Amino acid sequence: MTLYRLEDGSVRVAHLDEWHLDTLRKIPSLANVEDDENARQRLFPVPFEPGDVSEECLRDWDELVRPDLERLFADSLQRVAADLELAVPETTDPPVKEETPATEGTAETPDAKGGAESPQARRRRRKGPGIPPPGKKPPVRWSFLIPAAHVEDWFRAMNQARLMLSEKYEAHRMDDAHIANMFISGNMEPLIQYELFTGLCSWWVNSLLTP
Amino acid sequence: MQKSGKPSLWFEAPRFMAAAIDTPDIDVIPEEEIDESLDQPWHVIVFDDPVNLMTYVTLILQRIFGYPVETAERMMMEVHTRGKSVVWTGGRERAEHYVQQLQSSQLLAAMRKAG
Repeated sequence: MTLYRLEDGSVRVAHLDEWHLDTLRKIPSLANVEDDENARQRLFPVPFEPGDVSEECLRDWDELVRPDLERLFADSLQRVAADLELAVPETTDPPVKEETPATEGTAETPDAKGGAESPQARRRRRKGPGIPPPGKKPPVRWSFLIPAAHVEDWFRAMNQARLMLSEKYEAHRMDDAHIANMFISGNMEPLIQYELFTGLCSWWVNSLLTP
Repeated sequence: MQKSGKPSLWFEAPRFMAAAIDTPDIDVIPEEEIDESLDQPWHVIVFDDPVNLMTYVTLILQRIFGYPVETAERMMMEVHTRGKSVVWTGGRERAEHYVQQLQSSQLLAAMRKAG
């Protein structure tokens, strides 16, 4: 996955493999708080210290402010889902070579040609294992655009997904015991998702949100 | 101005008008209904959470309160090391507004009476 910050403030997300695209598409469901009261408490915490205000004030907050917050978060998730709907396969992949990849001593190598090898050719030759076998297509890569107006929504959605992963799986815990438990129970995916979103959120703060 | 004699008609208000002037249309709020908490200062507090990035918390404090980066970083570090930080103190309505903004940024925030 590669992120490009464009001049107009939008972001181009490119070279996404299937797993990354699929994980991003899970953001709305991962960030969902409907079925988890603890998760709701985290996202919509009680705004007053106990005893400082009357029941009426708490009711007012729940009736007047909380719906705005819920709408804000829900709108962000919808925009993220809409942007991902527009993901398209990239067409810039190099054409598939049908012949056997070049190996040392064949006519493709510089020794056989008797000339100097270009850096690109050398890199291509050294990346031998990365070249798909003859007849097999390279994996499809995807890209999509995040409009400048949706940049904040994306951060909010990914951060909300992190908050929910933390609430449900303690995905923020990086101690050996927790990781081992998740591994043994075959439930490493939430940790990996959390780490991916953390990396993206960090890039978002440093490269997009900070003036 | 006339010194004596009959008063001018201008000063003789009709009875219905006098009645209207005597009872102006003003709502009087009983004392017990006045919320004194509106006058008291309130603290806006940000609590530590294990998820939000430190750089993000700093950024939000700068955005919402207009703090310089040094102040925002100091408050963020207080949140991180002590578990919470009072990030603003003032009137209740503005405190509510700030708590709403902090919560819309997904920070753990609340308010309590100062003192």
